[in-house]
Amino acid sequence: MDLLQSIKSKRAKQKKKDPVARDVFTRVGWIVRQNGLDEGFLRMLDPAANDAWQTRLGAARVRLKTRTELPLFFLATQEEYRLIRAILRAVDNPYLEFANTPDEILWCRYLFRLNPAIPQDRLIRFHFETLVLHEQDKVGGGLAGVPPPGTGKRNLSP
Amino acid sequence: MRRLLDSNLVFFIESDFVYMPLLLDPSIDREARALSEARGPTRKRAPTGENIIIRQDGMQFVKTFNLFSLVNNFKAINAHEYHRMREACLHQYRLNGDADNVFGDEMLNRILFLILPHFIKTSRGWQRSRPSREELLDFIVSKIDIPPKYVADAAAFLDLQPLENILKSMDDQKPALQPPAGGVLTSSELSAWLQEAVQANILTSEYARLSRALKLRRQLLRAKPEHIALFLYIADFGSIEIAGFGFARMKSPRDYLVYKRTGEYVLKDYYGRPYLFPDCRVAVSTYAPARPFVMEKYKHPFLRGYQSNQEICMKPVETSGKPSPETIIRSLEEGITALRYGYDPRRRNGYHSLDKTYIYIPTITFEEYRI
Repeated sequence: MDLLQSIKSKRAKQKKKDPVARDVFTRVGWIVRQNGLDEGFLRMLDPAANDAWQTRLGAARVRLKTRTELPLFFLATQEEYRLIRAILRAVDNPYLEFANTPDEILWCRYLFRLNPAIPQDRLIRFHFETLVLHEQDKVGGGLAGVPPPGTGKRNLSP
Repeated sequence: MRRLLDSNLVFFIESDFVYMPLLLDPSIDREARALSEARGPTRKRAPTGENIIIRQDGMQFVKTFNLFSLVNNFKAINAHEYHRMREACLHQYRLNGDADNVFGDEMLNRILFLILPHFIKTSRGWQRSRPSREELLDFIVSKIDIPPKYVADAAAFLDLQPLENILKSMDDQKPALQPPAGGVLTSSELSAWLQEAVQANILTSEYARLSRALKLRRQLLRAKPEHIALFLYIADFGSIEIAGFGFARMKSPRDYLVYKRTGEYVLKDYYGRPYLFPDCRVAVSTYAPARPFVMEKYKHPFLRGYQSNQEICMKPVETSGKPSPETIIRSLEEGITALRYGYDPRRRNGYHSLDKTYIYIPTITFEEYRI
């Protein structure tokens, strides 16, 4: 590649429009507003309550991921801001960027503990509860303190 | 703005500025904290309107707009609501109507005193080259049957006493535009204050109009009542027609269509056969480039179709901006000349020919006009 072509391709790359990346604050803020979450949700995020909540994972089920159209940015009222900051502090892991519902925020920490290296495409395509079932099957009974889910391996291929 | 006032938000008012609840994201939060740290924790907040962010009862408010700026620009912000409030206010003081404006309508004066004399011929002819305004108005009044209601209205118009009374009462009741007390204000309280403030503003502007109206009426005291009646008639109807010349007001109050009737006329086709064309009105607008058009549904070799408001096919009169009286006169004359004398049967000029040509494509036919 000669110099001229190199300059042209470099400029073309610079001109290319990148989609605006929504940050995790926008995602959580949108979930909070759309679902009308309040301080009660924080109590569910409490580690003890969160584990107890996970024991309700009884029947094996594959849940579909809800699709959401996030806004480009999110401006929160002061109450919403406090709640969002508290959620971000409580669930401080990279899977939160892929949560679309309050349920998924609750599953987020447990899923990360089960497998901190789930590929992004799976996090985007599958509901976190489904991923938890899958990961529990892989480790054969889940983590200590959490009852094993239903029997049989689940195939997550679409 | 309406959504803002109908919301259940709480505002903070300081030094005529509205402070709204601050919406946050991490970067705004950082900025707000930096601002607060820069100001220092111990410094007491002075109500000067210089504070960008105010903390009150655990809430943060950010400086937005000036209340008086909102009041002064309310007409542009919410034209419909402003119009409704203005109508209610004018009705309260019996100031509705357009009667006063018509006397100061420059375009109307040009039409009456510069364009009309060119097209109207009296039985004796004008005695001098240019008739006076009084003579012209006398002539127009003699040609138009003005209903008695307007003659009575003219007498009332020239009676200044009621107007002076209204002005005096407005002087007494004129509300002073006071800003609301500083501090926390609900949206309904802000909305109520805004209503009062806009009403006061309207009254102030109408006060000026009323003063101007009174001044104008004092100047008109020496005018003949029938002349005043003529202007009131025009203010109501917006149009008059005398001997084939006339004008009609458009939706915009100071724009008019000036027209002249062609009368019946005869054109001949290639074989010399005559066609009698009916009367039509050739018009020019005072608000756009002077291009003559036919107001009625009409067909002619110089008109593209058979419909109303068609421009006449001719070389446009050169103008820039709004046409002058001379341009309007010239355009009307050229438009009428084009219709009556512009068609050349040998050349069959224009969009259509009167007779059917060898290669005949049926578009507009003139058979029914043949005599």
